[in-house]
Amino acid sequence: MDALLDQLGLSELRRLKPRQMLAQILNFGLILATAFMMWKGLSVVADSPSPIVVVLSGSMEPAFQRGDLLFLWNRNLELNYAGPTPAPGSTFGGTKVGEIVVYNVKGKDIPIVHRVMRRHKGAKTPLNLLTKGDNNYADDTELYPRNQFYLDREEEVIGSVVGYVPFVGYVTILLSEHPWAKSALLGIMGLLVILQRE
Amino acid sequence: MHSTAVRIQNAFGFFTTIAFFVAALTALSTILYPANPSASINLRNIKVRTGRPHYTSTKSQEYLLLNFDLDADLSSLFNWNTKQVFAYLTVIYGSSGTANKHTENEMVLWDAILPSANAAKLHLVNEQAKYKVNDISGKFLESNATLRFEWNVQPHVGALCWGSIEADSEGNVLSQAEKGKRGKWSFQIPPAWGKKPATKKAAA
Amino acid sequence: MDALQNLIDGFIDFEGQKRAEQLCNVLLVLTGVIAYVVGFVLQDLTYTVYIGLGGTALTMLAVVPPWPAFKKNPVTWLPAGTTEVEEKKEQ
Repeated sequence: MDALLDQLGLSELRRLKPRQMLAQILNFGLILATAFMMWKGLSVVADSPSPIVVVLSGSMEPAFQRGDLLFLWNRNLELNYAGPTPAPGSTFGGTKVGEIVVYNVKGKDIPIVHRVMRRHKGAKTPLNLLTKGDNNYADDTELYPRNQFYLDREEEVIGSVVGYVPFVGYVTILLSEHPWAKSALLGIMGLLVILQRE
Repeated sequence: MHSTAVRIQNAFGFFTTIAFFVAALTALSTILYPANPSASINLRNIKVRTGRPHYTSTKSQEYLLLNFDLDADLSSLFNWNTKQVFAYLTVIYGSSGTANKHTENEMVLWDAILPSANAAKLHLVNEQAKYKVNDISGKFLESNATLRFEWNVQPHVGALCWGSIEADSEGNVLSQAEKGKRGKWSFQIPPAWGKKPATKKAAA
Repeated sequence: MDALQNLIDGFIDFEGQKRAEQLCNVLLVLTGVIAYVVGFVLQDLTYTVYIGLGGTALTMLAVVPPWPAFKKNPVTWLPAGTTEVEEKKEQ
């Protein structure tokens, strides 16, 4: 094996130590797997396919700007309700008017973050919601599919906003909207690897 | 810490750790500021009109139009971690639609974004409801309705929270900070203009 | 070319590394504490953000470039070829 490498002039490759490289790859794989487990675990706890979303549009300004990170909860335990107990006989549970929900219009993959304006519940009908962005003049009827005037809480809504961190998600927006940014980043990292003496 | 690149990485990494802790402590500090907002409402004019959603639509629906007075003080909700307060007025009523298809209905009639403590002292006289609302089935069944004044506090970092002031079916406000400030919170939805009342009972 | 390589590398000696790390940690923690306390007392989050960012920029300026203060204790290597092991090998 060594003689072959010497003949080919590739004796430098002996320094690579394949077992060490495999250990590194395993380490890397473990880190990726841990991150994925944490994401899926959070998905299960919050009962939402995407428990953390980045705000993409300015339709909820001045509350949410583009690049803000939102934490979603899909179980409606009403954790943040700080008002008086509802009037006796009232059965209003679950998503209330005024909550901010994130939904996907059927067929499209873009999550929209808007506030619930109307709520209609019946014994045999699904919970119907109408939403509107704070910064929009009209409600979301134009965003829903044709002949659909209300959202179905079970099917289209992926969660309601309970927590908020500003700015942190802006990097993902930059990377997805400017594809050259990804290549530029990789280029800079490659340049640093070459220039460093290690 | 031997080369410039390593120092930049370490310094930036520690900066993100510190930033995370400062943000977490800021979010937790909201607990230190209990708030006591107050509000009182007086209803002035309630109408139900029939109309069409668009020029070209042939569907005719009933729309609820309201005028109201509102006196509210939400300034105690503002602390260093409050970004804005979203105040809104909801109408809640019971059955609607044929065969009581829907038993719980809530609709927002009016909302406002309050960016600072000064703007949070509301004094509205004969304000028209911002949204002319229609029921999902198109007809209001002259049910009893109440108003609920609610707010949503949006922090700079941390958890959002909601609160409300509402009245029971007799119009008695629940847990109002200042007793004696009672306006008219409940009403019965009138029949559409031009139509006779469905029930023989006098309107409340 | 060598000078450029030295500039990019920015090596400092071990004593300097220890000092740089301590300085970095102390300055950043202090920045965090001051930013939080000033913002809390004055009830305005803009103070926290600006003090925090400014303090971090200051820390980076103090720690990242290879200042001469970090190079005051260079490692003194022994001159080459003075060990007994080398003599034995030559035998």
